[in-house]
Order: sequence, then C-alpha cells, then structure tokens
Amino acid sequence: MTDDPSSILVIEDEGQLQRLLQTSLEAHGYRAVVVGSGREALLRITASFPDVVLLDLGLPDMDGVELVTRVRQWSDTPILIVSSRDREEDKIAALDQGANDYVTKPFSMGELLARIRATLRQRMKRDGGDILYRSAGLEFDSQRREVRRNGEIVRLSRKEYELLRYFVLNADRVMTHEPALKAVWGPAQAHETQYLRVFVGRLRQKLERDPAQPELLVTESGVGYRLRTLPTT
Amino acid sequence: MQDRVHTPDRRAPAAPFWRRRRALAELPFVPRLEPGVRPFLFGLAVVSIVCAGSFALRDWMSVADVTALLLLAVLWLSVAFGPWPSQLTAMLAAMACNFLFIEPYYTFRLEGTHEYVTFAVFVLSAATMTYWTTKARRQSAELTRIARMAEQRRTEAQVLQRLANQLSGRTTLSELVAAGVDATWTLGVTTLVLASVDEDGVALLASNGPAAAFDRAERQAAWAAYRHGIPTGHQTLVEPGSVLQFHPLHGMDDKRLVLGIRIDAHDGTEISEGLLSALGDQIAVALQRAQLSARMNEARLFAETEKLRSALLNSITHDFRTPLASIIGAASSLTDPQAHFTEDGRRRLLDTILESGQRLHRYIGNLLDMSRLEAGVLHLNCDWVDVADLVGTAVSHAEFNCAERRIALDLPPGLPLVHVDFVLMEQAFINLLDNAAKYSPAGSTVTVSARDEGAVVAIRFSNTGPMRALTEYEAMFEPFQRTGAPPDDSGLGLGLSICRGFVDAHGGTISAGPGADGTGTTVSIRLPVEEAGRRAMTEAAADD
Repeated sequence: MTDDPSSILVIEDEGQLQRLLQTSLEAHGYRAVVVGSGREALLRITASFPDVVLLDLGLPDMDGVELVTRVRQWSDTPILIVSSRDREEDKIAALDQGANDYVTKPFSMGELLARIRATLRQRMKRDGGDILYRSAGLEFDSQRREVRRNGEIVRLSRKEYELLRYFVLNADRVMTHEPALKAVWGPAQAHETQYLRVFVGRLRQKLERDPAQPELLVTESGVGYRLRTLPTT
Repeated sequence: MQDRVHTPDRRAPAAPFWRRRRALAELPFVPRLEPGVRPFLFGLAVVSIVCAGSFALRDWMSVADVTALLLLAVLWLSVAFGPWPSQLTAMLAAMACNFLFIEPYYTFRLEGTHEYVTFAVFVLSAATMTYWTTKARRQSAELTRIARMAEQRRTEAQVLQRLANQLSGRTTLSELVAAGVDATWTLGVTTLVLASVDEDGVALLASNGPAAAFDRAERQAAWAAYRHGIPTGHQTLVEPGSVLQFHPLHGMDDKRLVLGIRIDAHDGTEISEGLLSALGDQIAVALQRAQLSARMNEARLFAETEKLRSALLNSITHDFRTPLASIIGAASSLTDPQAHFTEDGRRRLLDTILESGQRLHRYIGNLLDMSRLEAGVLHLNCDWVDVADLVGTAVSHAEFNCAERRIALDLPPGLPLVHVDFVLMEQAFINLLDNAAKYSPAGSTVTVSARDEGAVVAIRFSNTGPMRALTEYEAMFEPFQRTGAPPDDSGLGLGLSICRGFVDAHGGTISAGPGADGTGTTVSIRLPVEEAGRRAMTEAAADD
C-alpha cells in the first residue's frame, strides 16, 4: 500500500453488509466511508472525491443506474457496481452509463478486492499515446502495430486487430456488447452480436493457450467480455 | 406465435386465346352487346360474309358449293352458340341463297322442281344438323358439369381432410385460425376471424394477420349471425356490405362464437354451403377440444403444484437447515471467547462457513429458477451465442463444485451460433456439470462435447460411474428426484428439472441415457440451429 491509502465510498443500505465491507476494506488498508442512501452518496462524492465508489444497485431512495448517470455528468470517479442476480439488466444499463465494473452478490472478499485493485490501476494509466500492453504471454504494441504471443508475431486481420485494440484500451474492464460493436464495426452494426461472437472466438483461437478455456479474453455471462491483465511470465 | 399471412400465388396460368370462351368478344372491333343478342348478330354477319364472298366468286362456284359453304357456317354456329342462333342463320342463309344464287336471281321466288328440292334439302339439312349438335352440346355440357362437381367434391374432401390434420393439436385461438387458413387457402379463403358475441357487443378473439378487416359492418354481421343462427355478411341477404361472411359456431358451451371468412375467389371456384358449415363445425370441435385439454392441464397442473409445494417445504426444512446449522455452529464456536483453537482448527471452521454459505447460495439460486419456471415468467433474453464460449464459461464457473474431477472439453471449431439466453443456458450447463461431478467417483473425468448435427447442435455431458436402470434416466428430470445413491450434499434435486425447463423454453430437447462405453450417464442437450446462425458466421467472416 502507498502512504496515502486509497479512499473508497461504499453505498450500501444494509447494515450487515455495511459492517462487513467497512471492516474488510479497512483490514486491507483502504479508507472506507459508508453511506446508506443515494442522496448522501452524491453529497459525499462531490465533497470528498473518493478514489473508488462501490455502489449497490438496490438503493432505498434512488435508482442505482440513475445515480451512475448523474455522477458521470461531472465526474469520472471509478464506479464498481454491486448487484444481485435478479438485476442483470440493471447491471448492463449501469455499465453502459459509465460504471467501470461489477461484482455479483454473494461475492468473496478476494474477488471484490481484485476488482478494486484493477479499477484503481485503470485510473493510473489513462493516456492517449501509443500503448504497449502485456498480459501473460500476450504483447500488444500499437506503435509497431504488432501482436505477439510468447514472443512470436501473431497475424491478425484488420477487424481482429481493431477489436483487440479496443479490449486493450479497456483492459480489466468489463465491456458490454453494444459499445464494443459500435467502436469496431460502427453504429450501424451496434446490435449484430454475432460479429462479436465470431471475432472473439477467432481472437481466442489465436491468442489463448486453450481457446476452450480462455484466460485472457474471458466472457462475463450475459454482460460482455473482459481482457484480463495477468502477470507476465 | 408468428403471424402467418398467406399470400400464395393463386393466379391460374392464362388460357390460350382459342380456349377462352369469350375471346372473340374481347377483340376490339367486336362491339359490346347484350350477351343474348350477340350470337344472332354474329350469325347474321357470318351469313353475309359467306354470301358476299360467294356472290363475288359466283362465276367459279356452283349452287351446290354455295349451299355446302352455308351449311358449314350453320353447323359451326350451332356448335358454337346453340340451336336458336343457328336456326335463324339457317333461315337467313336459305333466303339469301334463294335470292342470290337460285334462278330467277334477285327474287325470293322459286321456279321448277329442282330449285324446290335444293331449297328443301338445305332447310332440312340445317334443321337436322342443328338438332343433333344441340343434343351433343347438351350432353357435353352435362358431362362437364358432372366432372366439375366431382372435382369440387374431391377438392372439398381434400380440404376437410387437410383441415382436420391441421387443426389437431392446435390449442390457442390464433393457432386454430392460422391452421384453418393453411388448410383452405386453395379455395380462396384468405382470412379467418373468430369473434365472440354477447350483450355488450362483438369482440374479436383471433384473426390471421393484421390485415383482417373487422369494422362496423362486420360487427353487425357477426352479431346477426349469432342472433339468428344463419350465415350472414358477404354474399348473403343479411349485412351483405360486410367483407367477411359469418357463420355461427354450434356446440360451444361457454362461449358464443362466430367464424368470419373472407373468400377471394380467384378462378370462379365456389365454396359450397356444405363445405362452409363443415369448416365451421371442424373449427368448433377443435376449439372445444382445446378448451377441454386446457382445463385438464389446469387440473393436472394444480395437483402437481400441490405435490411440488409439499416436496418443496420438506426439502427447504431439511436442505436449508443443514448448511445453516453448520454456519451458525462454526461461527458461534469462533466467537466464543473461551474457546482456544489451533490455527488449523480455526481454518477448518472458517472453511465450513464458506462452503455452507456457497451451498445455500446455490440452493437459493435453484429455488429461484424453479419458481420462475413454475410461474411461467421466464423472460428469455436471447442473443447469438457461441456454443464453445458457453461451455467454456460454464466450466470456469462450475469448477468449484467439480473439485477432484477432471473436465475434458471436446469442442470442434466452427460450430454454428445458437440463439439463446446466455445466462440461463449457462446455468443449465453448470447444473449438468455439478450433477455429472456429483454422481461420479473422485478423480474421474467429466467430458463435455459439442457437435454440429445439422438442424441442432448437440452438447453432451458424460461422466463415468455406475449405470442406472433405464427408467431412472427419464425420472432424473422430475423435480425433487435424487436417483441412484445420492451423495450427502445432493441438494434439492432441482438441478436437472431446471435444466429441462430452460432447454424447453429455448425450443431444445434434453435427454439422458447410459454413457457411450456403457458406463456412467450421458445427458444430451439439443439446441435448434437457425439458418441465420450459420449465415451469421459467414457474414461476420466476410465483413473482415
């Protein structure tokens, strides 16, 4: 941990979970502030600029998706959604509104902490220039327009490269289908999910160690895809 | 149910002009006249032409030639138009012949025996010919009529047969209506409408396609059909302004229904009154059958729901208490200030809490899925899905429950995309993986394979283990079944019935049987492949 611990705003209305999250996050060296309503949350975000916001979608006074929309109007504070299984559609809506990631209840603490770390990492490396990205055996070099797997150049078609570039730019973030299709194929193809399916399948064939059980480009059921940054070997 | 509006090409091929009865009248220079007058004028014209021609050529023609020509004309006219035009023509021809070709010329007088004989023979021949051709015409017309009637009977019988076939097994009104049109469109039936009638008015229940007109005239006709029990609307005396013809449906006990039919007759085929009422009767019977089966289903469902509810209560009390007891027990031990645990002991208690919690989570998920299935509120969020992706994701999420089992995947590349709800289908796969792992010895391998089988993609989950009795394979999919020797944490026994529910909802099938090599169990899911799923693959590839 750094000297100045990252601050996390927890928006959760249930007492048990409030206690659990506060205790566990502080045990891992974060500064955690817990609020129980959407109104309070908005005040807090304006006042104290937390590093990460942990948002439960089922709030008593405000729709969670609505909250994301409002925060995104003036702030790019990373937002991590906490949702229960019966709110799949909300989850996608929140992601499309600009939420950064999600965990599904019940989650293990390890899972939540990993997501928080990934979200914090994303925040640090946002810049527009050339990208050199590494994850496990994958190496993506936008300056030379090269993709390597275990040091060997992988030949990608134009669309395959574009799609991979999109995932690299949003590494560790879960990307829903529609924005991905819009970014790579254009707005007219925003609903042609089959394109995404076929091309993700192809990228896996070329990049994964075992395409049937991908480690890099993983599917988030019913939501989208995520490019995972794994330690390089 | 998709709307099925049939627009088959019903235009008969155009007959060659010589077959068309009214071909001559359609020629531009033939004036439009009353149909009854036309043959007489025509006869007059033919006689004039023949006489004028013969008169012009009179130096080269004998009287016999001229009479023969005229007789030919009379014969043709009698064949073409029947007795009266040809009789008139014969009279005209006789007079013209006398006037122009028999001495003394240009008078109607006859002189000498020879001329009388010639004239008499002509008239007699013409009359005889007319008589016989008329008779032959009548017979041929009768034969044609009989043949046409026989043909119509045959068509009607075929239609009724087809209707009976189509209607069987249809349960909803819109399905019945669509099936009715399917069976009868060859007769020109383009629209069928079912409406119910009561004191408040007429309500449209079902119709094929949105194009069915059901306006004020139609409502009044429907009302009249019900009130008077007679056909009304189009081509009847009651409310003929209605586009649809309405027939009351008899034998319906709790609903007062009328059937509206729109016939766009294409080639003059007429639908007999008998056929129309048979059509109505068949639809009525099918409706009754559907109602009856719906009621029986309701009763059966109710009984099953009751059974299910008690099984559910039993299982909740047992299956939920066990993990809860572990959690409460372990946590209370840990918080007890007087207890002193070794590091290892503490770890074990914490693992117990974690595992029990995860088990409860799984049970609740299953109960939730089951209740959604039971309530029929399953909302499918279908999209194109890569089967290999689906299997891979399910495997990665099921790994926790499949501890100590190896999972082998056999997924050939290039499988067609399927149109399913990713989350639900993944849950079905996870349940199957859980089940396959649970009922196989530790250290064994669970195999998942997928094959493109043309109309379906078949995904098979196989484990090794003891064979089961054949009856058990079907029973596996019933809720609260724990066949074979269930392990301790077998759970609610809902997993497989949820799978069946999910797969059924996607129009797929699920079945179980002994494994390929005679050991263990193989559960096969077959998901329908739409042509679009294959097309999507090539389209996406072409777009690169």
